[in-house]
Amino acid sequence: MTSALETAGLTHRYGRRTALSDCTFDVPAGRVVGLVGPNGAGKSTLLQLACGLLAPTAGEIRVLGARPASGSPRVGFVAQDTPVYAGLTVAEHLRMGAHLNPSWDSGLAERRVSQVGLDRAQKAGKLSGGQRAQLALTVAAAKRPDLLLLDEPVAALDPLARRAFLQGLMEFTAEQGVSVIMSSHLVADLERVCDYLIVLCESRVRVAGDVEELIATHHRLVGPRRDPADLGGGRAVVEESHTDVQSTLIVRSSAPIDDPSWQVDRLDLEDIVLAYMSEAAAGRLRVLEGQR
Amino acid sequence: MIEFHLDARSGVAPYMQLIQQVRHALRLGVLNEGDKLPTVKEVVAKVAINPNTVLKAYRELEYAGLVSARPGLGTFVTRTLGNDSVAHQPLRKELERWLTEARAAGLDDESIEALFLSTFRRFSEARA
Amino acid sequence: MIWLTWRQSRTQALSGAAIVLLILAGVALTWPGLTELARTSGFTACQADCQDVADSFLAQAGDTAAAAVYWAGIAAMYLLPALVGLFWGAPMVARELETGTYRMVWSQTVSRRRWLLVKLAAGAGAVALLAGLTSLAMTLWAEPIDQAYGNRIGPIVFAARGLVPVGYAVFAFVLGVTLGMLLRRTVVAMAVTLLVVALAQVASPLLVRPALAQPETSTTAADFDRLQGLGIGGNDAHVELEPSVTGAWILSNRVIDTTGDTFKGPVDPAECGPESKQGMGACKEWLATQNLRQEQVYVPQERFWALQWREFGILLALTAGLSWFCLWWIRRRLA
Repeated sequence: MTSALETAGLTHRYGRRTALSDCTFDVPAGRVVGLVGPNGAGKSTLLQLACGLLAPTAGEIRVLGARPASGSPRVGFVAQDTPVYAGLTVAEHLRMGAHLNPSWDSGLAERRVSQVGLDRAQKAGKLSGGQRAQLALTVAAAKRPDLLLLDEPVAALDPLARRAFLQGLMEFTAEQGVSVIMSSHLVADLERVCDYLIVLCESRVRVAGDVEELIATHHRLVGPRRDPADLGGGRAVVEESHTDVQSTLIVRSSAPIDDPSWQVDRLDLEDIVLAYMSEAAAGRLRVLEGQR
Repeated sequence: MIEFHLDARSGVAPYMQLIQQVRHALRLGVLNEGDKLPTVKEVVAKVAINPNTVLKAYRELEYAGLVSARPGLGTFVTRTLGNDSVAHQPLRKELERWLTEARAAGLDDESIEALFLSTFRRFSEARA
Repeated sequence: MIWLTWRQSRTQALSGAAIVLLILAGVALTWPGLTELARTSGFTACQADCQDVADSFLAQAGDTAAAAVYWAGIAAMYLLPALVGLFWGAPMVARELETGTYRMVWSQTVSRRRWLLVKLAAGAGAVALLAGLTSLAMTLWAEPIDQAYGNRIGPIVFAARGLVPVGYAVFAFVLGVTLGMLLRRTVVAMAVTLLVVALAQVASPLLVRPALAQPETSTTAADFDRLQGLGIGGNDAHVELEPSVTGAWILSNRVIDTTGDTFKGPVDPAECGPESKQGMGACKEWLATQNLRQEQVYVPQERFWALQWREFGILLALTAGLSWFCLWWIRRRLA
């Protein structure tokens, strides 16, 4: 199976500011991918590179096996803050989609609009945030893309609208078997819907992988204080903290931890993401502790 | 037809929760042989989870021989679990007698529940 | 794409069309009356020495509604470029960039370049159509008036007749689009567009058009019966003669001495000075003995269409250049 999104050394700079640096990963097709990271980590940049709105400064990016280009029939994009034409009605948005996309599925569009209860005659500028997001998703979905990119689609929505949006998105995903990449600065938004996760932090990819695999291979170890270097091969320390007598480590390990002196706890997705997000900060902290 | 729900804070993987809910329904007789499970699309539209999660749960249930997927039609229950109405009657009677004794000994609902759970846990651990 | 372009700009298109229709209605309503007036005043039939007939025709026309249409037509031809640049051109891309909707429309199955091309072509086409219709109507309708004034090639009327207004309108539209794309703010783009269009309209007759027109120079013996202005201060004098060429755009008109320099005196105070008792007549006679000549640099009215084509061509080339730049920019630089 081809990759949905593949990058090698992908770098993007806006003038002197580096938004994305040296990103290399490979997302298989048919997944719902969560792109998580704090604000300003480069999530929007990555998604806009993937849909061809931006061109990379350096490195390679391939979407569904091809160089991304805006106007591709295979990639749908719902931009951040879900922009719609304020002066156009809901029905006119669908008409626009039908005019601009040869692959337009008007049945799907009409069905979705009825399902989420959008008033066709309403101007898009008068819609609520949730309705606007649903409209933007409908326009992107009815294009029948193979890959759907969503940039912080639920960030501005209230919990009810958030749930409704994700329900609609998952229904569409189940129906069309489309690959989805969606970004959020909150893992909780994505936890249920994603089966693949990319953690982006300070313009770099910290970790990328299958959600179940991430959960299965990450552990929290608590035990008497010791040097994490003693852990042995095949294990990487993601985060560590030490008191005088105790060490707490978050470890990625494919093999089970059988050292009885460690108390091994499982981690949920949010713990793992937070551990990676604070990795850079932990690096700085380690320096501080060394000085103390 | 049953409806699924998810508890995000339970710490149990979502696909596991779905499996448990099906098994629970089978055990309680809510689902019977020949009953149809909701389609993947219906489940994800209801609980907003990844379709692959539902597929995985249904696959596991199929491995366990509880359901079978008929292409184009849906997933159907092939076997029910623990038809307790007859077989468990004596056990139920005994439990009821124990509960009466516990009440007589002055235990309130909370204490009875705690006592039962702690005993059950110790028993399970001893067996494991 | 064409539907979307129409849907997004129909308000502007309809209001533009309404303004044009208003002018066309004025033209249509006053046309028979104007033709009739030109006939009854004898101007239509006049063959030679028509100045008096023309003046009487103009005086009569000035009392009718045609006068309002005449001035409104000129004003419209000057305002139209600014208006389309401001309200059609500037917001076209800037508003999409400002509201972020470009991210929606560019993720449809339409390339950026095609999106822009359709917008530019449809917009420029509509602008050319509206400006062309108005200019055509005004040019034909105002023919007798322009003839009577003999100022069709003059700097003001020239840019309100023929092809040039179309050129300005299309140029202003594409300029608005370009500035909107570069500045990414609708209001800023509108302001800058207005400024640049106004500058172009002012600079053109002052700087560009004279160079394009290849004016002619005529030097004749100064005829002081045509003395138009005489100013004397001490030894210095300023002499101005009425132009002898008619119906032309006169760029310069001066009195020169034998060396070819502008005549600035000195004058004989006995003949022309304040103490001269004989008045103006003596001064004229004295000036006539000074071997002075009148030099006129002018663009004859026969050049009208040649000059129209040249200026139109330049505007069209600028428009094409800007369009090309926009199409390049949207692919390479914008995002």
